[in-house]
Amino acid sequence: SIARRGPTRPKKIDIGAKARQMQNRRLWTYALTFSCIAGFVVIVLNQFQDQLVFYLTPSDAMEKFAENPTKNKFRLGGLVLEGSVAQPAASQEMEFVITDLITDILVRYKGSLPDLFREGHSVVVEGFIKPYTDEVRKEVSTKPISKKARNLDCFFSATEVLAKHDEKYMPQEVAAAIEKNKKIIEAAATEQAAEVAAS
Amino acid sequence: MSVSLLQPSFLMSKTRSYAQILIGSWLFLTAMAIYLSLGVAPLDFQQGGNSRILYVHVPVAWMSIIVYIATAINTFLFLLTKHPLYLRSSGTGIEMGAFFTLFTLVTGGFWGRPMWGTFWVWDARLTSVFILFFIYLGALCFQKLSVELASILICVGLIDIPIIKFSVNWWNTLHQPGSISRFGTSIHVSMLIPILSNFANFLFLTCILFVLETRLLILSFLESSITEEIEAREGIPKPSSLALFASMAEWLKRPT
Repeated sequence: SIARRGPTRPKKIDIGAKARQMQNRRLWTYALTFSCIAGFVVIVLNQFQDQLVFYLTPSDAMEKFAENPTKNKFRLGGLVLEGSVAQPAASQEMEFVITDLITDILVRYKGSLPDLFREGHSVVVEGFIKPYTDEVRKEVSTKPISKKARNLDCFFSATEVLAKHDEKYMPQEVAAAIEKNKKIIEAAATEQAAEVAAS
Repeated sequence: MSVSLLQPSFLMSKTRSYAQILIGSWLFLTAMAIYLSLGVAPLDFQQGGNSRILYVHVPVAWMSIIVYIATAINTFLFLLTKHPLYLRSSGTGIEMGAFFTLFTLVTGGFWGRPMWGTFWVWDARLTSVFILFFIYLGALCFQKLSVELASILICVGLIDIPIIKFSVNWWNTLHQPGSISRFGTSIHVSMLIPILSNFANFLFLTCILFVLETRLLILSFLESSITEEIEAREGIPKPSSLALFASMAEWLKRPT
């Protein structure tokens, strides 16, 4: 009877403390695992930085093409040079110049253009860099604005043209008002310049 | 007070008595959002009428990310505490988030077709949202195998959220960079208001659905003492909308 009364009676277990202990253990395990995976993803993304870009600027593309001329498929992004869109009578392909303000490159393309394709706006073109042949030289237009692009020894033969929208949204009336104000400011500036020149 | 808010019987009785106000104000919000985005908002100077797609696309994209973050918090708490409430609300979150993400992808495609000239491109923003959709789908599938597995997938997938947010800044993409930042917006106010009202509308709808799901969970413990407690709290059961329908049906079936 002494043995039964003695140490055999179990101590009361605190369930709340037990649960908190388990929660803590889980918290640390999961936090460690998830931060490891997050770090892994960040490292992978950093490694493949080059492949993740959607398009290259014309300058970068020309550099890459100069390094390895066998790989000539590119996606170029840049501004369509204002006044450079032309449809030469000699060829079926239309042409325009895209620029990153350092390098200009002539793009030749046959097909339909998206709605947002405008001169002076961003565009992404997919296709191949090709050296000029005599045939192409004869076909391209002789606009003075695309002279810089024609002086390059290669052009870009596009298979797809995508327009890029910028982050600005405004109603038509506001856009018109801004254009009008810009013109007024410009006119005022030229007037002032003329006055300064006269005096 | 804060403890009584967490009590199931309190939630059940309060959500029931405020249900008409909540749903009524949601309907009002919806009507206002539709009117603002289709009637009041002006045409964009470049896109014309196509900009109306953005009034849905942008809020839905925000919602897919907010729902994801809420779901990730829920699943993480579930992994820690194993409380069924977290499991149920994370399940709701996964379903709704998958829907919102799919809607984002589809509306974005329909905007991109005339504007960019393509329905889909593999740029960083679009691909990361596509991955988000697959995380949601994967979690939906895994839920039937093991809820822990789905929860872990959702928590791991949280790394995709900053990638989606900053993809347009880190890499050059076809998708335009964000218009709304801490430093102001580049969207004109008259076009920002429809976006925000649509966002409020979707957010409200999501909250209502979460509450409804929680109610379903509480009702599923029918054997417990909760139901008795609710009845005791509410006193005499009020005629609910269901009872109204039942009486209408009886009235229609009456012999003439």
